[in-house]
Amino acid sequence: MGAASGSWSTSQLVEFLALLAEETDETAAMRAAVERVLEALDAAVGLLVAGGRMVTAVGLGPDTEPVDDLLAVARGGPDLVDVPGLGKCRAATVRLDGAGAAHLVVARAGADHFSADEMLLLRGMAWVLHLALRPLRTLGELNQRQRVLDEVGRVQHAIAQRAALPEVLDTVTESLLGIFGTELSVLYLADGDGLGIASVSATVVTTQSPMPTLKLEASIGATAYQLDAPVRTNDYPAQPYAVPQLVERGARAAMAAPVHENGAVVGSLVVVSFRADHTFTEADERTLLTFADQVSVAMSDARTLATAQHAFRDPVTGLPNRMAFLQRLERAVSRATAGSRAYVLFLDLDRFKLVNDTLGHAAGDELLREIGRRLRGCLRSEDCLARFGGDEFAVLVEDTSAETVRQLATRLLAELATPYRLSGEDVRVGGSIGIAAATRGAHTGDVLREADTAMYRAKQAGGDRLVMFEPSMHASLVKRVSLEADLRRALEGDELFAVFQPIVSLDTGELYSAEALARWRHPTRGVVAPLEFIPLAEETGLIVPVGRRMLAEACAQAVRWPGAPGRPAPSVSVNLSARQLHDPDLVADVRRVLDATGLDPERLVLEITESTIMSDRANAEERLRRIRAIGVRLAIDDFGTGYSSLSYLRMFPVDILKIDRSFVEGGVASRQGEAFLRTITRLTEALSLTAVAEGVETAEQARVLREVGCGFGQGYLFARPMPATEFPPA
Amino acid sequence: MGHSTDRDAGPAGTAAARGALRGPDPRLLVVFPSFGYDLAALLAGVAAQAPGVPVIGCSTAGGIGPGPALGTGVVAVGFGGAFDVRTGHATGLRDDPRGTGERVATALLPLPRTGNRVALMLTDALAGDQQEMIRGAYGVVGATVPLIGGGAADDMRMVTSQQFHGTEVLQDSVVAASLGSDGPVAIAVRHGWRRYSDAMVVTGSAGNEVHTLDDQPALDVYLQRLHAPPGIDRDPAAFFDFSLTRPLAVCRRGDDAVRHVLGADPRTRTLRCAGGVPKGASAWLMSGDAQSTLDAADGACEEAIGALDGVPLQALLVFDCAGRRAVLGDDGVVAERAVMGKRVGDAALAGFYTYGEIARTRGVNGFHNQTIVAVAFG
Repeated sequence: MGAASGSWSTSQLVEFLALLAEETDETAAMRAAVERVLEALDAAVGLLVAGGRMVTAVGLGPDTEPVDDLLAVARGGPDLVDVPGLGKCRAATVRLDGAGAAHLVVARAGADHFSADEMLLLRGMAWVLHLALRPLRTLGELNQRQRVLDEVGRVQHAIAQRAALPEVLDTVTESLLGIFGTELSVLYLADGDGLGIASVSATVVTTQSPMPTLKLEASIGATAYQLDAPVRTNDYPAQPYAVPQLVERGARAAMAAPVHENGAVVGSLVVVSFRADHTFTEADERTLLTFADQVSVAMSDARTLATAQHAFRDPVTGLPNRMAFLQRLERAVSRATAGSRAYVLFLDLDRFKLVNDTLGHAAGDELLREIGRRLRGCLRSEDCLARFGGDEFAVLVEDTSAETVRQLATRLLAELATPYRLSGEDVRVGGSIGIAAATRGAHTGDVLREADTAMYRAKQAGGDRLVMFEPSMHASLVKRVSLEADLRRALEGDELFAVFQPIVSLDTGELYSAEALARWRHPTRGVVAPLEFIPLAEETGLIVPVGRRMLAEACAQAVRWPGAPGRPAPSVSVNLSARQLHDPDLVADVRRVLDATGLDPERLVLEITESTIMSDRANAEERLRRIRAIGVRLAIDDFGTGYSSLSYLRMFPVDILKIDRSFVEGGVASRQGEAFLRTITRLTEALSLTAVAEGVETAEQARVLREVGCGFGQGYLFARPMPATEFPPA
Repeated sequence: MGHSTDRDAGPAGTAAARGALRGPDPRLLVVFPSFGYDLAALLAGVAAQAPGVPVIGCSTAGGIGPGPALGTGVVAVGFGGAFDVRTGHATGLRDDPRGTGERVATALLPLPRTGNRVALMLTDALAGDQQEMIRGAYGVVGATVPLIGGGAADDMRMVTSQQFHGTEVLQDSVVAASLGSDGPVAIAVRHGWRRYSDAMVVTGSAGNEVHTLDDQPALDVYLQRLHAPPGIDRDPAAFFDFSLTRPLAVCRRGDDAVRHVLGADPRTRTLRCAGGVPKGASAWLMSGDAQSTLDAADGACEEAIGALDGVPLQALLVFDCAGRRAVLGDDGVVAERAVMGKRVGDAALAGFYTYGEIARTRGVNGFHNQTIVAVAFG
C-alpha cells in the first residue's frame, strides 16, 4: 500500500491547498491548517510557533496548562512530551518554509514515532500552508489581494478538480494576464534539451506567434531558470537577456520566477508588459512566485495520481496488476464456501517472445492489450482479469464449479488462438492455462503456486491446453524441488558420471564411435534415470554445468581409447542442449576441454536436436560454425521428429544424421516405412552426411537398415550403455 | 436504567424516567425514544419524575435498552452522584456546523476536574457537516476530552430528527453533556464490514462527493460492481435501501474508514457519502453480513469493558449505526442485544440505532459511519 498511501498524501495536499484558498483571514487559515494536519496524522495537539511564541493552537483545552515542552519541540527539544490529560505524546516539528522561523508542531498520544510517510506529509502540509499564507501576508492593498486570491483560487480549483495538466497550466498563464494587466505570459518547462513552452497566454493579437521561438537559449525565463531565482526588470530592452523580436514589438517590463518540482528547478514562469508606463514591483514579484508555486503543485499532483493508479494497474494493459489480484484473491478465499468455490486460472502465453523479438516491443505491447481485451470479453463483469507482467495473465472466477471454469478456460484458449493483425502481419499466439481452486481459508500464495504448477504442466505437455491442478502435482512438485537441490549438490561432488553406448558399422559390426550419456548416482535413491533429471536440468538451467561436466568426462575418456590396428580410434558424441547452445561460453568451453584433454577435435561429435537449432537459428548457426571451425563434428540427433526439413541441413555445418528410433521401428513395420528410411539415407548420401540409426534392437531392423544403405547403428542389439571402465568392449 | 414500550408518550416518559432514577442523587438523565412520540408530552412525563435533573436525548431508529429495539419504546439511563455533569445545546447546525460545535462545547465549560471525562453529543446528523461540528467542539474542549455520541434518527425515514434538552424539543441542533468521573471510562469503535471489491483509486472527489473511481464515473462503478438492479440510480428510495448495506471505505492509517453512501446524482454520475473521501485514496466497496455485524458489536463491548482494567462496569452506552441494523434484520437485532447483554451482565445498557456515530478518542477525526461505538463507565 506504500505507493497508494504516498499518493494519497499528495492528494491531501491538493485538497488542503484548496481548503486554505477559501480562507481570506490569516488566523482562520492557520487554524484550519493545523486542524487538517491533525486529522491527516491522527494527532491530538498542533501548534504554530513563530519567534518562539505560540501563534495558533488546536487541541489544547481551556484548562490545559501552557505546554512549554511543546514549544521547546520547535526549538529542537525532546520529542516525547508529557501533555497534561493526554499523557506521553510523541511530537514532531517542521519548519513552515525553508528558512523562516515559523514552525508547525504536532503531538500524538502514545510513544509511537511518526512514520517516514507521515513526516513527508507533514512537511508537505507545512509547505502548502506557507504557500497559502504568502499571498495573505504580502499583499497590502485589499483590492489587489482579493484579485490575487480569486485567481489563485481559480488555479487551485482547477488542480483540485483534477483538470488535465495543460488546462491547469493555461489557467495559470491566463490568471497572470488578469492580475498584472500584462499582454503576455509564458510558462517554460525543461524538456531534455532546453526550455520548451508549456503554456502561453497573450492579449496581443498579431499575425506572428507571440513568442519568436520555442527554444530560448537566452531569455528572462532561461535566466530565472538558470539562477533558480526570480528576475525582474522595468527596462527590458536594455537587458542582455532581452529577445530582439520582443523588443521590436515594444516589450518594456518583464519578470520571471523559477518553477520547481520536488525541490528541483524545472522551468520558469514569465510575464511581459508592452505598456510604456508599466512597472513591476517587489510585491508583483512575490505574486508571480505564488503562481509559480501553483504550477509546482499541479505538476506534482498530476505525476502522483498517475503513480497511484500504477499501484494497482498494469501500465501496458490497464488491467489490475499482481498486487490488486492478490488482494482480490484474499477476499475470495475468505468468502469461499464448500458449495461455492473460487478458481484461479493462470495463463502463460506461448510464442509471445517471438512476437516481441521479431515485431518489436511496441507491437508486443499492442498484442498484450488486444489479448487483455479479448480475455476480458470472455469474462463476467465480476470476474477479475489481471496481468502479472511479461506474458502472464491471471483470472479469478468466484461462485462457480470446476466444470464451468474448465469451459471458460477452453473458451479463453480458443479466443487467444484466433490470429491477431499486428504491423500488417497475421500473428498467432497460444496459451497454457493452469487452474487451481481457492478453497476457504487457503493461503493465497499456495493457490497461485498450484495454478502455476498446473500451468507448467500444460506447457510441458506442449502448450495450447489447460490443466487442472491435482494434489499429486504438488507431490511431484515437492519431489522436483528436492531433486533440484540434490542435483545442485551432485554437481559439486562426483555423483554425475558418463556411460558410453557404442555406435557400430552395420556392415562389419566394428566399433565406429560411442555416445556419452549422463547418469546420476544418487546417494540414497541409487542411479537416477536420465529421463527424470535431464528435463529438470533443462528447466533449471543446470543443464549447462551438467553438459559441461559430460563434455569434459567424455573427452577425458575418449582420449584413452585405443584405435584398432589400421583404423582411427573411435570418436565420442556428446549431447548439446538448447540452453548450452545459447550459452555464450560454449565455444570457449569446448576449446578449453579439447586443450585440457588433448583429444583430437575430429574425434568429438556434438549432437543437437532439430528443435534446439530452430529455437534460435541466427545464434545457433554462428556458434555451430565456430565449433565446426575448430574441427569438431556435428550431428543432428533424433532426426525426423522435429521440423524434418532437409533444407536446414544445407545451411548448418552438419556431418552426421542420427535417424530417430521411430523410423527404425517403422522401417520393418511397413513397406512405406522402409521406403521412408530409404529416402532419408539417400538424401544423407546426396548431402555427404553420415547416417546413424538409433534404437536398433532387432536383427531384422539391422538387416533393413543395411539394405536401405544406412552405414551405422546404435542400440541394444549391439550394446547397452556401459561404464567407462568397460569401454571399449572387447 | 429504565424503559417503556407504552405507545402513549406521557406515561412512557414517566415509566422510563422512573426506572432510570432508581439510584440516589441523580445528576443526568439521557433519554432515547423511538421516532414518532409526541416529545412534548413525553418530556413532560420525564420531568414530572425528575424535577431539577438535567435531561438530554434524541429521537432514534430504535432504542437499545433492556430489550432489543423492535418497536416503539423509550430507553432512559440515569447518571448519579459519582458524575460531575454539565449540559448544553446549540442550534444552527446546517448553516454553521463549526460554530454550533463551538457553542455547544462552550456551554459545557468549565469542564469537570475529575480524573476522567467525556462529552456526550447527540446531533442532528441530517443537518450539516458533522465532522466540521466536531472540529468546532474539539477546538473548545481540546484533546483531553473524548467526544462520544451519535446522530439522532427518524426510524429510517431520513427526513428529520429531534433532539431535546430539558423540556425543549430541538431540531438542527446538538445537545451535549460533559460527564466527569473518577472511575474509568473506556471507548471502543468497530464496524464489522469487509472489503468486497478490488482496490480502487479515488481519482476524482470533492469533500463528501465522489466523482470518479479508477477514472470511471463513481456511480457507474458502484452500480456495476455491486450488480445493482437496473434503474436504481433513478429511484432515490430504492438506491437508499440498496446503499445502506453497501458502504465505501477508504484506507486510513492502515484501517478502513467506512463511508455510508447517502445518495447518487444520476446526471453527474457521482456518489454522495456521509464523510470525506479524499482524492488519491485507495477505496473499497464493503459488504457485511449479520455475523460480521454481530462480531463487531461483541468486539466493541468486550474491548470497552476490558479496558476498564478490572473495575466493575457500571453502565455501557452504545451508539450503533442504523445501517448495521439494516444488515442485521429483526432477528439480528435480537441476537445483537443478546450478545451485548452477555458482555454487560447486570450493569446498565443503553443506546440507540444512530445516523452516524461520534467517537473522537485520538486525533481530531470523530465522526463515523456504519460503526458501533461502545462506552464503558467503571
